[in-house]
Amino acid sequence: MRYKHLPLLAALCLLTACTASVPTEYTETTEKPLVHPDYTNITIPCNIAPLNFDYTMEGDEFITELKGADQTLVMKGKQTDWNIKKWHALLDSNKGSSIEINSYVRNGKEWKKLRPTKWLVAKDSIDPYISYRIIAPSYVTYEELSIRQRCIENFEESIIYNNMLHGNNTDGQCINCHSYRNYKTDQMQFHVRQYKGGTVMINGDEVKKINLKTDSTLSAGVYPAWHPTHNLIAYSTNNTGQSFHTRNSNKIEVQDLASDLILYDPERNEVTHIENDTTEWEVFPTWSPDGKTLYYSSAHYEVTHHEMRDRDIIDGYQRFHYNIYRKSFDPATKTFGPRELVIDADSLHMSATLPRVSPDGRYLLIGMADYGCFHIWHKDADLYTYDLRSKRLRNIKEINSNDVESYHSWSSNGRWILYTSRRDDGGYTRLYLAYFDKNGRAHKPFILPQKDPNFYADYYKSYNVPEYMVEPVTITPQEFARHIDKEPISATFKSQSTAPQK
Amino acid sequence: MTSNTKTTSTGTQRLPLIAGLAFAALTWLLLNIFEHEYLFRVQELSLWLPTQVYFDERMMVPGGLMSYIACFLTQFFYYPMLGSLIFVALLLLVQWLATKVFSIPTRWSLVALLPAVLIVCCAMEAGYWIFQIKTQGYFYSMLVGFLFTLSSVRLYQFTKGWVRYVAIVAIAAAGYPLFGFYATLALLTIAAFSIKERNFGLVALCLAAGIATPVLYYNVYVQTKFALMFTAGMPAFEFSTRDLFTWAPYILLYLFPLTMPFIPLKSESVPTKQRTLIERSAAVAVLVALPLVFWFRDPNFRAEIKMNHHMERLEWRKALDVAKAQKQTPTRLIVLNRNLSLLKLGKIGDEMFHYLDGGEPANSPFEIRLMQVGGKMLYYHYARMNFCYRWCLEDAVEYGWKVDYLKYMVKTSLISGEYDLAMKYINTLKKTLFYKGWAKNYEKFVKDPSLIAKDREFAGILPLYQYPDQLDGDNTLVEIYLLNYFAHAYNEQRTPMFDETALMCALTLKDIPTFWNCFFRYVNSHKTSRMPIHYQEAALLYGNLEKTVDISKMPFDKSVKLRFQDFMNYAQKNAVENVEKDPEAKKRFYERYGDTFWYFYFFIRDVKSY
Repeated sequence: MRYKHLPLLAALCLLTACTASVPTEYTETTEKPLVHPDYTNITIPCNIAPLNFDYTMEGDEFITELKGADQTLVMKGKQTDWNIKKWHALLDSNKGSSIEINSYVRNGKEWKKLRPTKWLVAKDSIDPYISYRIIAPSYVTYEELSIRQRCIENFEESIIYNNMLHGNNTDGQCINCHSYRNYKTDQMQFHVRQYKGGTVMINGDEVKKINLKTDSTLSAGVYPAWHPTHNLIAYSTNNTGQSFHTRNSNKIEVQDLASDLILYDPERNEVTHIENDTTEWEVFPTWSPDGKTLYYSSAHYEVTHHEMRDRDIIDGYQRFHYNIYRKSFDPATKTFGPRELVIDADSLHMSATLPRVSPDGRYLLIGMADYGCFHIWHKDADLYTYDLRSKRLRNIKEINSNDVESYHSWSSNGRWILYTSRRDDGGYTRLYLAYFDKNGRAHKPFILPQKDPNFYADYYKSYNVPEYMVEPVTITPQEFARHIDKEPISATFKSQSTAPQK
Repeated sequence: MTSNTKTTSTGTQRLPLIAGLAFAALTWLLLNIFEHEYLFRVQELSLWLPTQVYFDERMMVPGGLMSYIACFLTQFFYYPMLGSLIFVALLLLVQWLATKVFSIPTRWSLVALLPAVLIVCCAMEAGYWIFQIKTQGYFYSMLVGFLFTLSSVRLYQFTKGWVRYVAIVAIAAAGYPLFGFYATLALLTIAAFSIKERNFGLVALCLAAGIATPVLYYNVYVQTKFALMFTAGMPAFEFSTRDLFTWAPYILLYLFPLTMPFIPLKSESVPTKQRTLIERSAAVAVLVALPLVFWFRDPNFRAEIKMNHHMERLEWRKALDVAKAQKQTPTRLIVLNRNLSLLKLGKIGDEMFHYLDGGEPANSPFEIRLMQVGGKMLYYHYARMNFCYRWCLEDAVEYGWKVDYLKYMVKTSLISGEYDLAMKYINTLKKTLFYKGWAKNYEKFVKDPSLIAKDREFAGILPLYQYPDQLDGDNTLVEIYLLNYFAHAYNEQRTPMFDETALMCALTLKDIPTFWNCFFRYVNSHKTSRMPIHYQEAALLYGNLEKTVDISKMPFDKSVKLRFQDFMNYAQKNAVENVEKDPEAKKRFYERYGDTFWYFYFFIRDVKSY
């Protein structure tokens, strides 16, 4: 009986929480609010999920006020957890303007107001979905891997495929390189390696598992690039190995012992070579938005000790400097033009990888580091833009950090860069978003928001290969598992009638 | 007469309590006397965190709550006496529930102890599995699961009529996601009771629910392959003949509730005293025999666990005492732990061969790597920070995160100067119940890295952390890697400790040119020290075997020279062909020269590392 008023009390508490208000008496200070994640003074998409944060400073009580032009949200507590409907209403009504964040902290009886910060709400929306692979930052073992999709307008995350639907103690299954055609999911692919391996190819409602390895190619397809106007996929083929640093905090060196480029025609189930020079290490193909140019990275390396070829390559790991090249492409005849040097990173004693062309065709977004092609393990790796009009290469310092910046994607409208970074702790890759304005400048980046702002501190897995999508994948993981269970269909190799030109 | 009957009756009625308490007390004592360090190691190889992420990850598979609770309980073995007290208390609960569920009469009360004893067997048979099993909260999972089975059956027994159907559906629908197979076991137990009651409708429902539930939930869980949906929550042993023995106590445990409804324990007639005595003796014999069969009692395993326990605390002398007490051929890990302890105490050159040597394979039915059992600690103390970190991460990915790995990841990150990374692991450990203090202690090094060099533990490692980076790999063979690395690290920056480690490795490798290289480096960096006995022994032997180095002017101790002469004379008299393979000769040599490098050189052969 003593507890009969509990429901009433609970309701009152809820009511109080909903109607939190800013203190009437406080002292204004210039003290900066210390919050985690750092969401202060950033440009945000008008449709992003709530940016919840946690105050990392001392205080007995905290009140946060989000002040838009005609709406205000107030929340009490050390950690914010914005109501998603009210949040989106606030963003909607402030597109193109800013929201002021006022933080009030009470220590003892005194309230103080911290220095206000701002969010600039960009009119440019962000693609509502992204997908990524969740993987522990381990070296050889991987156990459970999943490719997941997340609606970034809210916090809903779901599994596209999880390797444990097939793998077990003795038969491991690696999954990687999910890729979509033009940001849509009705044409997508991802690879399954080892147990029940093959490339899972989705074309509308049809799901096939293809074996892209032929007698004439180095490996099955690896890094994919789906042609924007024709049903064709360029892949690199890679023979990849890894070695371990005994002391360097980069920890491992992932190297290609050989690599080429191929073109796959899904309708004919045919593979042809694009590049297969044994002294060139070609990798990371990507198409221009009009589909008339193929960009890629390539390093020139001539093995000197052929009898110890692998050792030679491993020992020479710091000599692998990848440049960016391009080749013209005629989709009608499926023929490529000669190779053309775009970025001579080697002359800068650097290595340029993973070119991605902005949707307006003007910029290349690339990863740069001192050497090599697997920059996720290179702490010096940064993102650069290359202006294809002015031919200017620029370190995007505004979004880089002292740690790894690696895999990157353009949103379909070209205004939002999604990339991976290890800046938080040096070991675990997180996803960052940054606005890329019409002047080619990136704005201060922010970490992919989670409902619990401390989520990343407790999370021991990395996010990699982040890709934008305009719609979710609707095929269930179990359906994928059923298709993966089947024998793969082998692709055939067709030698090109026109020899590739250098 | 009446009074006697009353006394007997009261005594008999108390039998379950007495038997339970006796069993609990005995189990608690055995665990604390013999398995103190093992229990501590079990909790080090587990992790429980009060975070949403941790909970969500557990719940990604059927039976998630069971492993969550099991991991929670496991952490109390940090204080083995407390942990084992909780363990035996829950065993008593199993006994009580078994008595109630199966209406076990007082006369047969010892039978109610059978599942508790089987659970002890399941927990204590693990041995090397504790390093490899992928079941989270292994030690407690079957206990928690079986408690759910018995509890849900007991609750079911209170229901009647149509509520029974609802109860069955509820056990399947709610129990399976939380407790996995143990919900199915509850359904099967209810089916067994229903068969006895000839209620075939209920039997059909139980069987249908038992089969349909995992099938239906397959569409919900995206991390479990279809076939494993039926065994979710069972330990992750292989379904093969290799693991049949390991499965045995589990199979018996699972059979217990399925067979008990059919065993007629109640009888109208009063048994004779003699019959009662025979029955109880048989029951006690079974209850005692089961642990005797399944309890893993390998001396090398225990020695490894104990040495690890002491070395973690930098109790090098105590670790050596464990090695000294060994009566059987040690595993390589024991040998490596011994050498590391001697090195830390500065006694490697004088005492390295005063212990049993050899390479007994780990007593495990499956392949276990030294890396998994103790390699991480070795890499850490031999300053191979990236390798220690790597294997912590690799094993965490494969076998789940454990306190043990997190601690090494903190320490290696600190030495490597990766303070943000160290802080991530420290913050995680700060969330545990029992490693908060440990984590806070290491946090001070992040705040002030200059303290690292002043810390006793780190200061003992930094002299070996003197090498340039290179690309390398160990192929999981810790010992071979360390031996070759140190013995052949000619071009690296050296410290006296590095030189001593190199010479120790050269002695183990028995490669004469390598020895001389390391020997002269050692001499140069230890000019003012006396030459330890084993190094003299090796120099004398190699100098005589291969006259590549002039040892005539080396200042050997007189006693060492005399003993070497004695050894040579004895060897000439007693040496026969393949003397190292003759057990008798080996024994004779061991008695006289078992504490010398010469014995090690000639008689410790064909040792395989793993």
